[in-house]
Amino acid sequence: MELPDQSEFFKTIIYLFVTYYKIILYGLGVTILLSVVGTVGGFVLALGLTQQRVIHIDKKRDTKFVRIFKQVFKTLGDWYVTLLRGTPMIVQAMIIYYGIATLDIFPWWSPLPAGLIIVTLNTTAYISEVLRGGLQAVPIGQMEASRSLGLTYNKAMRKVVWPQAIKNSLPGIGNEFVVNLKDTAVLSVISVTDLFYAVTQSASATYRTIEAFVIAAIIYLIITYISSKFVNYLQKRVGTAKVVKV
Amino acid sequence: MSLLSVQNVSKSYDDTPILKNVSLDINKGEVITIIGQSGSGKTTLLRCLNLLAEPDSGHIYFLYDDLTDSTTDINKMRQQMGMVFQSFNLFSNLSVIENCMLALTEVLKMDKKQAEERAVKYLTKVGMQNFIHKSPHTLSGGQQQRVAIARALCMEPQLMLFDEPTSALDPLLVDEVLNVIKDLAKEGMTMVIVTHEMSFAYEISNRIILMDEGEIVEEGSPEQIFKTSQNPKTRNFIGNFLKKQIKL
Repeated sequence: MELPDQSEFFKTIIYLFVTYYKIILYGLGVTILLSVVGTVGGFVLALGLTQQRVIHIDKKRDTKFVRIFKQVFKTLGDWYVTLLRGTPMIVQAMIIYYGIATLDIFPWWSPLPAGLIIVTLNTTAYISEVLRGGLQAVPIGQMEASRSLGLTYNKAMRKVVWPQAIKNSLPGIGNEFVVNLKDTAVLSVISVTDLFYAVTQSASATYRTIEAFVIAAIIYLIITYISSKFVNYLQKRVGTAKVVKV
Repeated sequence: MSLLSVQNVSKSYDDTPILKNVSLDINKGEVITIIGQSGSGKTTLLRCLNLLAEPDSGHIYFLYDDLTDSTTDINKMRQQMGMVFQSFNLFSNLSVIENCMLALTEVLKMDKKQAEERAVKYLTKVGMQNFIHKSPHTLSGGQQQRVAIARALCMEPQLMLFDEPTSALDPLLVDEVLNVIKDLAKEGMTMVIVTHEMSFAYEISNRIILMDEGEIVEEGSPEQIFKTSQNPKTRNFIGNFLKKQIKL
């Protein structure tokens, strides 16, 4: 197939897709991988981080050492979230990727694993805020009732408060996944071969920039649309989607 | 020695004194109701008994332990002291029977089958045996409160605390909860009940405690508080209450 004339917009799109579909689909796979790993990994790490940030300091029963220990980790947790949410991911990617590459400590350090780590660290901060909101929405009476039965703070959190907080947070976490599908495009700055990077390649090989990025837009739209629908479906299943009719 | 002894307990929130030097003894088998206006410190006193509210000063002795001592294991103590809340506080992520079983398996380390048997026993006692797999939010307020009572009873506590157990209920649902509490009283359960249900307090109590502005104004038998009290504050409170009764 020949590269169509400049004036043939749709034909060019079809040409680009047919010619470069392998690299584009590979890029799509990388984008989805980054979003899934980032959101799942970020969720798991955010659970620990958020628990640290909201931990209960018992002024009377905790020893001085325990109080200081808890306070230090609480503060560090808050700083982490402020830092990661307060700087663009593209900047974080540059610092982390080239920083560790310069230190030369990990022989496996390359764009894809670096990208996976960066998106995970970034998502952790955002999901931690979502979870904190989810925790605040659990009525205080749930903790009081647990404690009144003799459950320890940790048991009460694990068995009663966290399950409810996670359920409250599902819409926010789903939203984070959809955001990740789009925002991982910035990782092409460290040459992660995601969808954006793949399309950039096909554009620079053919000088048909607009057509190439229209393909990117369509694919991004399709995957975000499908995942939004899927997230909505999940919310209905677990009952967090409350429809307010006015 | 009494089952629970409160000695000179004070508590303030942000410099506002809520409890002022309150002392109180509770003997085994007694049913004590605490009455008084909103803001008089009734609920705070009750919450101090199981340390959901931490007293600023004073001591609380329960089964020979000083609860206000920081080395006392409060979780162990709370196993012996059930609490029922105004807003039920059933665990909304768990079913009715799981609500009752949670502390049995997690705190008392019972195996699942034993815990289930005990949960069914107490749910039957409060008349909720047909709802064991329901989710709390599908139940009426009265039903939720009965489950909450069963959940506390499952621990087979020495003492039950009730914090305005019927205040959040539809008037038609109040009786089903009060009847459960009356049955417990007949069986000799030691109870401390904060309530605004005066006729219930009159009927069920061995002793009524009237609180005002963080202090115990008067304590005595229902007869004494409702009929023969010479204390002007008591007479004023009871008088106001009697005036509000609708005469048909």
